[in-house]
Amino acid sequence: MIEPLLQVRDLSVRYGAASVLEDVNFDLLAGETLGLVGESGSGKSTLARALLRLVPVSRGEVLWRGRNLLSCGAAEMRKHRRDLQIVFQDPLSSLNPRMTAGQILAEPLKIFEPALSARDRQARIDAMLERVGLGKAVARRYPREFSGGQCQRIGIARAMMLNPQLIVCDEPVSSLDVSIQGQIVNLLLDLQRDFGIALLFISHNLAVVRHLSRRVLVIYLGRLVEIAPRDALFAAPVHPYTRGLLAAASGVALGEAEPPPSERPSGCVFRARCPHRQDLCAVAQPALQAVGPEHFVACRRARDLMS
Amino acid sequence: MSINRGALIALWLVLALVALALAGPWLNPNTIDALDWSHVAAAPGLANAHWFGTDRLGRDLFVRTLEGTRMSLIVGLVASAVSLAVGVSYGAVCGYFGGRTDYWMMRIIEILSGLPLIFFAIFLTVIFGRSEALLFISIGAVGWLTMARIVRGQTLSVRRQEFIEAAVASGATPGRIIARHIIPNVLGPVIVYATLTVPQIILYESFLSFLGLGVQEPHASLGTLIAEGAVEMQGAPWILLVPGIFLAVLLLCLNLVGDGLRDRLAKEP
Amino acid sequence: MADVLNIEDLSIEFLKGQRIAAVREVSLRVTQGECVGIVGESGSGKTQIFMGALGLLPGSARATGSVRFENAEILGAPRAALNRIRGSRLCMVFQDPMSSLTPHLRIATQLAEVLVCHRGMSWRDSEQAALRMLDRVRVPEAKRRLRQYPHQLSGGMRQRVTIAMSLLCEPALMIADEPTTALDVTVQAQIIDLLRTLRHEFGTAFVLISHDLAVVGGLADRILVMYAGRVIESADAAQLMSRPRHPYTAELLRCLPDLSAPPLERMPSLPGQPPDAAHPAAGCEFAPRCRYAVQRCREQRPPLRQLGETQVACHFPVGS
Repeated sequence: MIEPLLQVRDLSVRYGAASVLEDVNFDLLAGETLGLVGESGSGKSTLARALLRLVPVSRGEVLWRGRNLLSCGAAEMRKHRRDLQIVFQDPLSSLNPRMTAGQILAEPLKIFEPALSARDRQARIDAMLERVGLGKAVARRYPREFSGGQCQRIGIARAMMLNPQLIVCDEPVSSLDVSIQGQIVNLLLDLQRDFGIALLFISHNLAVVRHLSRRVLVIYLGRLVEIAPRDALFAAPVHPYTRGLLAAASGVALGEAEPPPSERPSGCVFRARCPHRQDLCAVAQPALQAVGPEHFVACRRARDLMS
Repeated sequence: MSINRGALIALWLVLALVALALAGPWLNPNTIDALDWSHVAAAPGLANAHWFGTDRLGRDLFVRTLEGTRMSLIVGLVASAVSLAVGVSYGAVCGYFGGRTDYWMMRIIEILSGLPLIFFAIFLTVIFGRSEALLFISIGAVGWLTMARIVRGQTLSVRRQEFIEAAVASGATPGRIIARHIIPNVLGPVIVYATLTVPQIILYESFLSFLGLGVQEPHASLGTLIAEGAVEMQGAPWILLVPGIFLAVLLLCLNLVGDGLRDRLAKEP
Repeated sequence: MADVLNIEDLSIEFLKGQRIAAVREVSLRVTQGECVGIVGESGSGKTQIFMGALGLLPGSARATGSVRFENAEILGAPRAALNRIRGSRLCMVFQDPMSSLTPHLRIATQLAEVLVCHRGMSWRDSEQAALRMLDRVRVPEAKRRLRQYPHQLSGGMRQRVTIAMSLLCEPALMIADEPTTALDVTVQAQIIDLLRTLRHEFGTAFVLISHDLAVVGGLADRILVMYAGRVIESADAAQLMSRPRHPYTAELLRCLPDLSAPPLERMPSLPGQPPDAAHPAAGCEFAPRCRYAVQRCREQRPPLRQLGETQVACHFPVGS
């Protein structure tokens, strides 16, 4: 049994009394694409940042190749960052407006391979710019001179510079025009195929997630409610929220409105909007239980719903 | 550079004043401490070599005023440069690290802000005697405080931006992030404030020198000249007016340039 | 049917250092009770048209052409005249409900203000009317919500509040600019349903602006597709969605996700970049990205002309 590249155990992030992420558990294998689907307030962006230790974590472990990132010292964590990268949602604001594209791409090299000569560094930058479809002539331009799609390519190039093992993609195409989204997704697919990187692809867009992922995680209000292989999830979703999401994506409205942030229900996190709720759902958040091969659902009525 | 018209004129004036202050002495045969007993407290005129007149001791006002301008500019620029360097680093570190580091560093700023500059300067002069070095120290002790606060505020807002997260995710050390990512992005307001600090410091220095703490005889700064001129105001007003006008024009122009820079920088994409 | 809105040859230019032509010779009509959808991506100018019509453009913008609302010319009209119309006869709902609601005022105040200002009603009567309107837009526990502040409401609820605000004066025309884009997909469907219902209840004419053809296709009677500041196709909604005539429209339809179909190898997309408004092309703006483009397309800009029941701006429309 190969050890997974990333193992997340009981991860919780709380800001004061408010719980943003609670008891998140999942594995990610080397070279795998894992999709994470959730809507606003689900905590998916916080999860992305928590994995990279960009936000403080209240509880839990993030095991990267066996080593808990949350207990490393700062210097050791910086060493791991070489292999664990991130691409952000807003392409423009994730680039330093005062640096040219070339300078932005040079940074990872300067940090991790300081011995590299200027010429070699430039060669690597040019090669990467070509690889992401921008061409080396753009190295001298500033982020504001690029379109959204092009900025995102720079962001991906930056993440790829040191040949990482995992790239966390936090809604990388959500701010882009629909006609451009495919370009970026296809680029990620190509890079994955050529370099064997694992991807954690976070999005609220089911179609895009379906395109890329081998397995999919569904998150609602800070908790994972379903984990399943892609085809199983889209063909036969079990959790009422997942079903609601898929129905909504096809234009069918989900019954009740979502409660505002200050009024989260007790017990099962989806109780207020669930068409199948029962009294025992108010007791506590159900744990993820296996309902099929690599398929887990956090619902007390999972068995009923599957039949 | 599309600075507005007023600021541009002001800029030229400042540069002209600087050029005059640097080259002026060669234009006039007099020295700053030559006493011309035949022309004591003489009015300005082109007849003799004393274009701006002379003071109570017969010293040429043209040369002394230019010397004073030079002195004020040097103090202004040097002290501003120091306050810039110290203030920017201090503020960026405060703002970036936050937490307890920020807390204690800010308390230090608050204590120093409470220090009355004048008493501090007098105190130092009493102990160490009058010297130009003390002038730099007393101005330096407080000149950087507001800059640090401004940079801290700017850093707090820049720190939240995604490209800073991206830099952390790229493995950059805090030092690198502050130097390469934070500071270049807070420079806008910093530059504007720096240009406004120069006249502020010149005014401080003038005030201190006016009080008799700071620049020594026979050297002059605009402050000391104004002090001398104030005494002679009734009989020989030009002794006050000439350095006074120079100071006022210098301060006004520097302020206009600062404003112009801020407007220009505010329009940047 | 009387025209509620009639835009003719509207062109809007921004002069920020360089001339940027955001909207070029756009004409469109909205009749009473009709819902017109405007579809376009970045740089299409779809929002600018209505910012121009409502007089919300910044000082550096120049608008030429004609915009007639209920038979009165409003382009360039004096502010007083515009203020009488805006918010009462002609309303706009924006993309991000959080920024269109004033954070420090209660919902009741913001809603009632509309009626107090435009109808001269008393605050008490206005609040009653606001309560009734919140019920009509299906905000649960309306009485409690009235006393709350915007940040205490969820995104979907805020959007309902802004829609309620627009409907209070029973406008002749409501312009909704990307009303569902900032919302979660589970809420989007609800808001679209709501808009559909309200349309029938109030008989208001609608303009629905979106980059999402699916959203527009579900609501509009007629759809206009915009690219690089121009209208490039205009047709009946059903017609456009099933038989697009412009290659760009066809590509947009191809990019629409279809969860019922098996997943594809490559995600469909258009090559190239969206058009650069600062450097307009000589010929067809879409030519650099069009798979059917020939030399003539790059040299000669195709005019918008009638082709059966569609208007299309293409030298070689799909299916010809």
